[in-house]
Amino acid sequence: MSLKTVGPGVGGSHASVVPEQVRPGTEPRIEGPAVSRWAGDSPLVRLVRQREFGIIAVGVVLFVLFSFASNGTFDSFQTWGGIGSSAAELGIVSVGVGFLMVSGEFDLSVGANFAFAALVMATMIHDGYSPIEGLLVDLGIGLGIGLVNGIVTVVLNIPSFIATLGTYFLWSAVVLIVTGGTTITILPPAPTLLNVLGGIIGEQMRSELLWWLGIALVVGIVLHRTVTGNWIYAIGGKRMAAREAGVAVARTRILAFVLCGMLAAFAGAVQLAHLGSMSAGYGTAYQLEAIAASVIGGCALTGGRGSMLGIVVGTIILQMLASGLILSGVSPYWYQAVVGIIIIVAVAMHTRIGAAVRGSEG
Amino acid sequence: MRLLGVAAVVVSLGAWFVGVAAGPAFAASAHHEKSKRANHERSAEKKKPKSAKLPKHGKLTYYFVSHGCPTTTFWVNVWNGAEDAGKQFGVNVKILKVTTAQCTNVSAVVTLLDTAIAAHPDGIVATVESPTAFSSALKTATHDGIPVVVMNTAPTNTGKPTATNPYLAYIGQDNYTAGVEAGTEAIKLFHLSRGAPVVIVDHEPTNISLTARDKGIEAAMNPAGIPTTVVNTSTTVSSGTSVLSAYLTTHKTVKAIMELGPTGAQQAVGALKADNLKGIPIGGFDLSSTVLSYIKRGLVGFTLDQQPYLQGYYSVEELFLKSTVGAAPVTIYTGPAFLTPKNVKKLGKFVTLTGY
Repeated sequence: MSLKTVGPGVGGSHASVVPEQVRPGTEPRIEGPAVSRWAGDSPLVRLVRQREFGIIAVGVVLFVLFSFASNGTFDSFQTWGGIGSSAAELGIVSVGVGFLMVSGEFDLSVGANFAFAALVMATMIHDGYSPIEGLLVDLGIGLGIGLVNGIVTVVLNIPSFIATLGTYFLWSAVVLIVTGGTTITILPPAPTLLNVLGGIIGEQMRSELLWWLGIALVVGIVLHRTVTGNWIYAIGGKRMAAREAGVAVARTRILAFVLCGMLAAFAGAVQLAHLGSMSAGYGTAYQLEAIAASVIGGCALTGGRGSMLGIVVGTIILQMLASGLILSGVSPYWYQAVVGIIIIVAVAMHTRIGAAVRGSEG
Repeated sequence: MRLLGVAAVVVSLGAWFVGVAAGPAFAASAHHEKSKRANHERSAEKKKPKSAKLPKHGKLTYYFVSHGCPTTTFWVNVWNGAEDAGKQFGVNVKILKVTTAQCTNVSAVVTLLDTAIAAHPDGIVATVESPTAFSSALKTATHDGIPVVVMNTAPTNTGKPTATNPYLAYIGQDNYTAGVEAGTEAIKLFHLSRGAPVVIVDHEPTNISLTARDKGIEAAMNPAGIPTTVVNTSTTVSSGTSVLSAYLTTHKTVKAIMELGPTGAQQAVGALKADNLKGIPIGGFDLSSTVLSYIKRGLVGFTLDQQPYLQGYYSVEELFLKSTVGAAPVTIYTGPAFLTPKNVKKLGKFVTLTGY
């Protein structure tokens, strides 16, 4: 290890601001002396000090392990076509859920929202409306559900965990009341829009993968490169301080709920396109899986921490586990156990890395 | 120091993982060695002609992908049948299951099937609970030359494969016909007359097999002037029971309850007990040890058994015969077999034998 040491000021009162993310309302990141000893410019050090480094390392380790353990079936193009497809649908939900978590809120209604919005879209297409109209209504429903979640949480001042638990039950019931539980199927040939949302590109690659990565990129830019993104971090980190600093707290919080709701509904539309059918049961478990993906990727439950890269990597790790364990010949019962352990390990790791980056261990 | 700690975590996680991933793999290969040796010894003892000799085969592996909830008794019986067949034929049967939280989630099953295909096994057993969702996976399997047998839930009523959903054969029940038979039997057995309202308990409204049964019952009852109402409960026995109990309290004229599976049977019996109602007969589908005891005690009038153990067993057997002697898998209907308080004594023995 050829770590460059910083010149004269070592161990002194010398402090430097980490060129990471300057967030209004939070104290600037100060490096303590203990860290600054190896806080030089070496690319390796800078890489290791990235918050996502640990989780990417876990992902790489898992990939290598599964590739060896599965006799070469895991790192095949076919497997990744499958992983990509199911990761994409969960991934689009996770982008919204993770974004919301950075602002310090939860949305447990995404699974119900997902199924409800997509079922209405499926019914419309089935009944002869154009797919575009269906998609617009789908997004409108997602927007509406997100808005309701946001207003209930912010205006009624109820913790979002409770507020969205309530709307989760509400929409799960409404979707059964409206549809009676039937599965709506759109028989082939599928309309063009559905092929664009969830068709096959080339041999195995599915277009939903591109939607997921595109959305993650755009929302990532909003989160990391715009004032709104800064506000999201500020609100999640220190809400009172953010308010005093002039952040439009209520409006920004509601905006995060709306984005999360719309993305859940869009993911529903993508899955409808992928599977050609939709039913009330399809979105179940997504709320918890999306939170798991975000937490594995480094989002703090208390808000203020997390990144888009982390959320994406967290989703990929979840899907790698699902397929990799099977292809390695491990009993599928292990999947949930391993996910549970990975969540705990990841959070422990993120907390340690967070502390190291802040240099707060003195 | 902190970084070292992190690195240690990553490494130990990795080491633990190698243990988890490699452990069963080693165990499996050791087991295979053992069974190979056993086969070898068996074939060496030529003086024992009693047991039929199995066709010779290499290391055969079949994946068994279904939408069955890990905790549902019905599916435990299916998997028992598949595992028993695997043991008898000396083949590897890998059973893939969704998690309890994903029980109604078709996309999770599609992902499992995609994964199974990526493993390129010697054959796949699958359930197909949507006419479109599994289409591309089934086409890929066919394209890759992997034999697929569908069991329990097929995209068409009769179980016949189509161009969009290609596979070799279906092992299970024609749920619509079973529904018609159940409806007809209920009218006869429960002496239902014109205008007598019947409740159909649907504990899993998103399952197309249950919907087909429901449509079959309606097709038998509605033309006879018997009105039917579907009450959607849930896969959780307790919450479904209270939904049904509330319905029965407000609809006193109900003359019979039809349930679509053991979960529904438990909910129906529970709801009648909760409301202290007597004299409303229950009939329905499938069998579990609980339903068996209900029938013995006369709480349930009849059930249509589709013999889940056989569905699991035959699926693996057909793949085995396809792999070894090239026999073409054929569609087998494993039900319906009627079970009533009258024949329960005789059939009950068989039911216990097959691991219910």
